[in-house]
Amino acid sequence: MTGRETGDRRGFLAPARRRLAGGIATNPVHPPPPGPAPGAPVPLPGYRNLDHDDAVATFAAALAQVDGTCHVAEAGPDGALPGELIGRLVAELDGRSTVVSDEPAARAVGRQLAARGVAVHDATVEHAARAGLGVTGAVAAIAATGSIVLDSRAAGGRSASLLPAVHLCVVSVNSLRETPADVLRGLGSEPDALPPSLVLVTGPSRTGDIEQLLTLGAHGPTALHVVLVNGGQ
Amino acid sequence: MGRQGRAAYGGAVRVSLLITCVVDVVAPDVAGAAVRLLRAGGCEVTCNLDQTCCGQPAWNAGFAEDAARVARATLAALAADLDAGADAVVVPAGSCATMVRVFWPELFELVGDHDSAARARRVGERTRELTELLAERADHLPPLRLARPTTVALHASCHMLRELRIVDQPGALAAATDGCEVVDWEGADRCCGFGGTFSVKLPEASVAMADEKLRALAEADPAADELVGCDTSCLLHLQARADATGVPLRTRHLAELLAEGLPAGAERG
Amino acid sequence: MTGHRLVGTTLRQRTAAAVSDERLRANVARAVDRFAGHRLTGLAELDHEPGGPGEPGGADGLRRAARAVKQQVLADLPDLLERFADRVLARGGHVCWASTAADARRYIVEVVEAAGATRVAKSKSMATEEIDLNPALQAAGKEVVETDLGEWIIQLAGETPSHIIAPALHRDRHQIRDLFVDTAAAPPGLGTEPAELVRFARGRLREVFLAAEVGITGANIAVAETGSIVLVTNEGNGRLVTALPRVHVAVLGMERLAADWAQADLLLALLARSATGQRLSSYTSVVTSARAAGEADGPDELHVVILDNGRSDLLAGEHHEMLGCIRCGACLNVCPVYRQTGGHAYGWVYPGPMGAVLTPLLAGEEHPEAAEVAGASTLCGACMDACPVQIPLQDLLLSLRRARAVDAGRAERAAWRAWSAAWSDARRYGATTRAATWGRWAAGLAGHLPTGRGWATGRTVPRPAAERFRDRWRAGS
Repeated sequence: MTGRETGDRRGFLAPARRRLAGGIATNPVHPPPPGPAPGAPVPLPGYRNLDHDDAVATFAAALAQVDGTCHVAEAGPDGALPGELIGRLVAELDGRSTVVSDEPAARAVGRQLAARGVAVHDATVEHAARAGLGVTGAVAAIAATGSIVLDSRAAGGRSASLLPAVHLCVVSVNSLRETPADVLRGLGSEPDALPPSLVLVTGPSRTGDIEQLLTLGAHGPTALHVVLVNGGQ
Repeated sequence: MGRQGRAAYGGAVRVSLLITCVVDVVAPDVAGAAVRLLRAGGCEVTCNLDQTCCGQPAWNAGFAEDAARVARATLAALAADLDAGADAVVVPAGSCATMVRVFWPELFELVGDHDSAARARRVGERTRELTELLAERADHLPPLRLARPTTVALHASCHMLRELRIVDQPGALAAATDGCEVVDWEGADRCCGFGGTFSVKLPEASVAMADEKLRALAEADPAADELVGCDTSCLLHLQARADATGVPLRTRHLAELLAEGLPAGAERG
Repeated sequence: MTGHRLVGTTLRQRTAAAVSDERLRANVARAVDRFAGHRLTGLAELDHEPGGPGEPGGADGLRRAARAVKQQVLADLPDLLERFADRVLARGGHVCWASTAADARRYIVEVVEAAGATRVAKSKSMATEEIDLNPALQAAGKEVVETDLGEWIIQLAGETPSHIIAPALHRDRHQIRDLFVDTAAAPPGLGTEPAELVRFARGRLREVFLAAEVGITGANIAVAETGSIVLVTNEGNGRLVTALPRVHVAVLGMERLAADWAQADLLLALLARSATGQRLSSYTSVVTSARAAGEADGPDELHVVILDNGRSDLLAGEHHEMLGCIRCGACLNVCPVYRQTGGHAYGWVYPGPMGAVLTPLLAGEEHPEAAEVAGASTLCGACMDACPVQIPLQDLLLSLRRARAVDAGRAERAAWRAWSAAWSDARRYGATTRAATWGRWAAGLAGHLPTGRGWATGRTVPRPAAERFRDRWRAGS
């Protein structure tokens, strides 16, 4: 259903159109560069930290630089994660509950945790607000920046990656892209495929608002673990 | 300097000196030193005394008509010298060289004086800041040697750095002078706080900026005997603040330091 | 719009007060040095092949390209805005065309009322400061809480932001701790360690997020290609106010567009690095619609308020390029004047070099006092070297000074006219600059300037030389 439009579109845009119709003034002392030729692509930034031969290592280093933790794991049966990693998560949870998003990879982790006695819930706001851990998948990861890409439609919401203090994200190595451009520049090709919310998460929440000293966990998660899964889905 | 084309000046060169009003009235030794250096570097120096000022004070304050009125007189003087055979205009101040080379064309266009704007473009193409030209003439200069070893801190004035992009030449000239040691210091590239009428309109902020420079200078290690730069206005501003607060400070234009290093018998002005 | 401090104080008063505050100067210097250093490291990582001979590579090449992108966007702005709005509407979002600040305020208050809401949570938005949104909501009986930590701090203190990225950088940990105890019911035993202060704020504001019924954000970039708004944040509050409340209102300056995702990608590559040196901020959120069926959270309604408020007046004219600003704060971090004064000295919402340009342009019509803010600069040019979209800030400041000079007081104009009358001729110049005459003449002129005696504030007055250079030259030296 189409949204509502308030205000006078034509009236709003009329002054802008009028002014632009007369031609744009050019700064004579520091003139702007000539525009690109029609159809010329917008330049692609290169990333010196990107190792084209080892995107996983690039990703792990970039994630570590933003205080996240990268685990590389082999896919187990039914998407199971290594028992040792699960064991560590359970220990850190210290009795608190977990919420999982709708993504199959997250649900698989949820089953593993539940098997060890953790209370696991679907990620509603109510449950997420009380949980110590949120588990999600991701639709992509980005090596050069150490980012994961969260899709609210795939996840069935936003709160699993947002409210609990620890966020665990499981993503296939096949979804690892080299640069943000690899994820962003294609978004326009299928506009309706864009979910309501797509978030590039690059490390845990942080603030420098107190004396420009870095503190993690301002409002979002304090810790971010990303599991890159080889093989499987 | 990519903004305007430039000829390389080999062999004997005739240069027309733009004194700059601050140097003319308050610091004439700077121009004197410049002339000696230029002559020692094989230049014949002319100076057309129809010049007055480049007009920058009024330009920066927003009074374009007044700036143009003054600049026109100086433009005529410099153009006359170039027409009479001078190869280049030389300016012992980064801010004035910037005014001539970068802003004069816009200034004259703004006040509707297109003839002066065209003339200003031609003059600007052949205008050099002093150290820029000296660096070009380095092969012609005699070796420079200071009588007493001197450590200097360089103040990189804003116009030199950002408009003219004359970044390395001053330091290179100083470092090539025997007995002169150039020291690094934090904030060398930061604005001194003069800014023309800024210094009188927002004097507290202006003084605070000078204080920060002086503090950084005091912390230079090794310590500097003197602060040297290519813009007399900056140096006067810092010296005036240092004197008012009892901070011991010696400032000189780089030309004066280099000229001191000229061998006896080199062309004297 | 309230003039903040523009009304009732002069630029000189504000800067003088700021530089006399040693604590403020220390806080500001520490902050900007850190940001500026990180920026250089962050940009050094970017690579780019120059397009042709004489063109820069690396980050400078990308900045040049970004400037060209902004030029294109501005040239096509009306069509892009239509395309953007149509896409938002097609996905069920609501659009408000707000020509004035009052239009925007009215619409937003109505949205809050229609939602039956009283609790509003805000993520940082300078545009909402510009239009004085909070007082309007409060006047309508709504509770408004800023959730960006720095913005919450200044809200508690009743202040305006001091820096675009770090609104509370003028306050150190002790001041913040005292503020929390005095105004946010923090326990008196609260320590001053940043981690402890952040933990306290996290707990308090978490309650706000969970209770808020309306979330209000700005928008860093609006992408016309897909009708998306992009929010660039670090703390997570931007995500929380767009995940939990039922209604999301985004206030978008009309110029903050990108035509497509290729342009947005380039701008995003430069934005965080220029601001803080980060490759990307912790959260780059792309919001394209209200929640979908099957999502357990997210807003039921998305409203995008497209704001003019004086921006269209800048299009195509002398100050056109100022609309390219992406609000990164890089110019603040290198400005030698801002370093000494912090943001409040600029008197309004936008500080530093970009504020020195935007304040006269956006606030000038309502407040004549805004014009002099363009004087808060020595024209050193450091800002131009730092701007990720290469806005020619120095030239814009000079242009604003010319505009101001037209309205300058008669005394000031007369002083310049006397100066130019004398110095447009070598003989008259000669007469006024002789050692005997110079002091009197210069002092006479200076006396006509509003602060002509300002040089002597803390500085000795240089004396003219006994003999001018031209006299020596004439004498044959």
